Amino acid sequence: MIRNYFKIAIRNLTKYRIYSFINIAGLSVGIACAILIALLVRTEMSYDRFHADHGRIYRAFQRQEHSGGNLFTDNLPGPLAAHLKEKYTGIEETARFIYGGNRALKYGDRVFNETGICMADQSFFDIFSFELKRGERSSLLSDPNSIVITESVAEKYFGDEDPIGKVMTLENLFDVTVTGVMEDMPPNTGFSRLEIMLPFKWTRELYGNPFDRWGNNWPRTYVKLADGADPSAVASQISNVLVENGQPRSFLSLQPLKDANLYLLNGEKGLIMALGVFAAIGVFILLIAGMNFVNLATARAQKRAREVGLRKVCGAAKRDLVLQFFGESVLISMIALAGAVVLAQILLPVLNSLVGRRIATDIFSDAPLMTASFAIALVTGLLSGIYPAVYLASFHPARVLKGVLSAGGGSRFRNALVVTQFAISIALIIGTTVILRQMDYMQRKDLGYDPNGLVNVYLTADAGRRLDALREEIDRGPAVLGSTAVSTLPLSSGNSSSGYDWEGREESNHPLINRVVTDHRYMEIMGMEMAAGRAFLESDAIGDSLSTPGFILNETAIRQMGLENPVGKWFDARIVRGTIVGVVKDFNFETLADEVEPLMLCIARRGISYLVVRIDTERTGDALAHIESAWNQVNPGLPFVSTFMDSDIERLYGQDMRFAKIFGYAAVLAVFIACLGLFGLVSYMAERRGREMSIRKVLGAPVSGIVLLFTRDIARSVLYANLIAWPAGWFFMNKWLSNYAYKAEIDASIFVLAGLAALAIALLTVTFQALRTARANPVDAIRNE
Amino acid sequence: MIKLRNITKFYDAGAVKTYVLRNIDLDVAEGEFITIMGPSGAGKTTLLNIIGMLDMPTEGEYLFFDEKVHSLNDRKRSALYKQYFGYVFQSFHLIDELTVYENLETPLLYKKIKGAERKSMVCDILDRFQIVGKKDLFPSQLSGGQQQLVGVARAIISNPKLILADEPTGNLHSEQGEEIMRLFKKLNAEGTTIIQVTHSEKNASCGDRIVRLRDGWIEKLQ
Repeated sequence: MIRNYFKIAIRNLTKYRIYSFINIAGLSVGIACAILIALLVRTEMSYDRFHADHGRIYRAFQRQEHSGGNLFTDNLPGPLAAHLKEKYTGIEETARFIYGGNRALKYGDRVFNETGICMADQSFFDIFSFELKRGERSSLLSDPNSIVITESVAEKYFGDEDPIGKVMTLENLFDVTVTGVMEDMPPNTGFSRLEIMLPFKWTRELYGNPFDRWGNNWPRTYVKLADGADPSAVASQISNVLVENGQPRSFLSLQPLKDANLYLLNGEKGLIMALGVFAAIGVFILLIAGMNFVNLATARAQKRAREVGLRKVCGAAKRDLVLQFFGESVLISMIALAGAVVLAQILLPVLNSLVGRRIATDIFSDAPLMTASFAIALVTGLLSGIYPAVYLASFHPARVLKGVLSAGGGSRFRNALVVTQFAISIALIIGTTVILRQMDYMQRKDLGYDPNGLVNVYLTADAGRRLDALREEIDRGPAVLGSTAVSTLPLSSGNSSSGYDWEGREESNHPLINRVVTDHRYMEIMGMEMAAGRAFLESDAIGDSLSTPGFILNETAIRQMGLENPVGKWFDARIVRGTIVGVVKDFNFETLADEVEPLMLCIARRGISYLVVRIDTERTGDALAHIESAWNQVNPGLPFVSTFMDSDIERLYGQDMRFAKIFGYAAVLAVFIACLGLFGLVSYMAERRGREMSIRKVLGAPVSGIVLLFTRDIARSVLYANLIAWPAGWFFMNKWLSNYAYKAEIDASIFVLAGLAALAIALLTVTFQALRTARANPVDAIRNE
Repeated sequence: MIKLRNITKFYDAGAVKTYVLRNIDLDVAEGEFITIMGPSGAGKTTLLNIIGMLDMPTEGEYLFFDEKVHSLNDRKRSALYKQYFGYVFQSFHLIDELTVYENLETPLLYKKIKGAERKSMVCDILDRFQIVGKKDLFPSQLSGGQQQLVGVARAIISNPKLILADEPTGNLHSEQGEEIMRLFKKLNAEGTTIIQVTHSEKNASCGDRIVRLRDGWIEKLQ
């Protein structure tokens, strides 16, 4: 019986090739898409779950109450980790962890600028079970001059040599000995940047800060609870530990490690929201492909009706036939699955590049993924098989064998499906357009300074010592307009504090103010405008014993501080007191997702990390060559790293851009599959109504009239689809845009254009078939009957 | 074997009821060869379909071996049908995508007959109809007569007690038609009950009795 079904299914598939192709291609693309999305979602959901004790590992974070609102951060004071382990029950182990910035690392004649340097307590490797390729886990970081590297790093410096015991040079100054080689970070870990690990004490040398004081929040603290400890009990115990140690209005909490990638520290949905959207997109695309199947199967029901009648006459019960047609849809979905797996493997590099890291290389050997794909295909086959199976199996044998089958049967249902398909497609087009508009808006928006023509030179600690010489050399260049040294690039918030004081402060006012350390050229080089007072003078520097330090604040800071006429008032930056000399107009120093925050600028030497150089954009090549040669002259042997400010800003929106791309791909696929289905549908319509068209033609209908007959229904369906897609698109995209403090306008043109684009593509698909029918010789079709 | 009492069939087309059959009373005994005749639109095929359980009467009673067919559910009716009936059509009606062999096999599949037995039954019938050489051909590769032979073969392959034939020779040359009729006579002689619909008096003469229909009424029972 199965064999009989199988044969007839295969013969039908090979006989009606276009139909089979549309179904299989559509489903293949749909399933491939679902496989890739499943892969992406799985990777993101499985973050750091490979650690043996991941269920007991938590990231500590604090909620600081400020006048402007709450700040959630995992930057914590250095003494916290040891304090927690010592004083509280239920905590088995704690470890501090901090990223080390860009550092030069050297072995023999090989020297590289390393961006993956981190520092942690020795217990880090007791909490996290990154696989160790060489070395003793128990003593990895116990020697203060030890260094642990990943396999890739080991290969880069040592090739085939055994790295253990080799001495490397850090920042041209310090010798460190390799004590361990760990596996490269897997794609699903929050420590994805970790390549090189140093003992935590190196923060003193590299950051000039041993992090041994309460009140100074920077490193992260990870906590591993004791087996069986109640997390909420521990959390409530430690909630006040920061307050008790002199950090008022700061409350400590624990976030489960498995949530770190998915949820924000304030408990709101983070990445998990995007994953939900992607999963929905996958389901939608499968839905569109499944609808093609339903549509085509019912549209060509007439062809199968006779077989149904005959089988019933031969004794088939309805159940037998339902089973047969179910089998066929599952068979098709299984063939599609084979195509989908191959397609997914081919598209894997695209996904990897979209995500920005290699999340998989070979999906064939990924058994759980293959099982899931099989399940997806099976469910798709079964779901899309239900309606056609029941519809076909319920044909009345006496009637279908007589050849009476209402030709229009189910056409309203089919139209409804077409409307749904296009509604989804149009909504995805709208989504893509809105996201792209927002991207474009963010790139064009006036940031309050001019990022074009700014080159950021990364100063490693050693190079920072020769900053004056470097700047002198760089500024001498022909295409260089000037340079300024800064602690933080205007790409993210850096250091912040709410401990500042100023003339006339209200007792309860503690706004959180960001701090940027720079030099007196900052405003001029960045191209910023002053709202009041003056820009910096050299004499405003902190530590210049001859004059009072000068501070400049931004407009938002002044507003939150509640100051009128701020210029000339005193300002206390905790250690030094000085005078407010000016107010800079607000500029965006974080992503445009966030409102401009309060900012304080001061001049000092300590903490400088970058030299920002303004160059003549007409002579970029000359300028870059000059900057690099100046670097090499002043810092021989240290790697030179520079970036363009404008591309850095673009990178800030990498996540959004990836989101836009995934959306865009989804929209293209959705439209493609929907049009495949439309093409099939119209092919059948042409076949079914061939005779009608011929008679119309004989009666004098023009070609255009016949084409119109075909396109009218489709056009109507697409227009109806807009009625669903527009409100849905508007609602969801407004929701998405609410993530941004500065956002592009959603105007009607986006909706109209999306609708028109879908209509145009649909009509293009249909017109080809319609024209063929309309141009056919009427005699052929009529004689055929 | 068959008792029809007061069988009426009409279609409700809005305000007007279109009657196809009116108050048909008919008894068929086992082993009979009955011919249903009448002009176009008299309701011949509908009557045959009702007897064959492919169609349901609007009113009336249908007893098949004392089983009340009109009140059986779908599955029981289908089971009854599978056990006793074979159907032959005017326009052959073979499944285009299946070969001769597979077409013949289909009713056996639905009767859940096991593989080996099925194979021998199909071979038997191929032998009997002398179409062994055609077993791997598709219907489109056969002549009309050959197709109808297959059609008859398929109808009788599962040894039905009753063969229903709707103008079995309608689309055949006279010579081919005669061959089919000879076959029917032989089957009837072996004990199979046959009910056929035909326009041909010559075919009718093969049977024992003729039921003449006109406008849905039984005009005459001969």
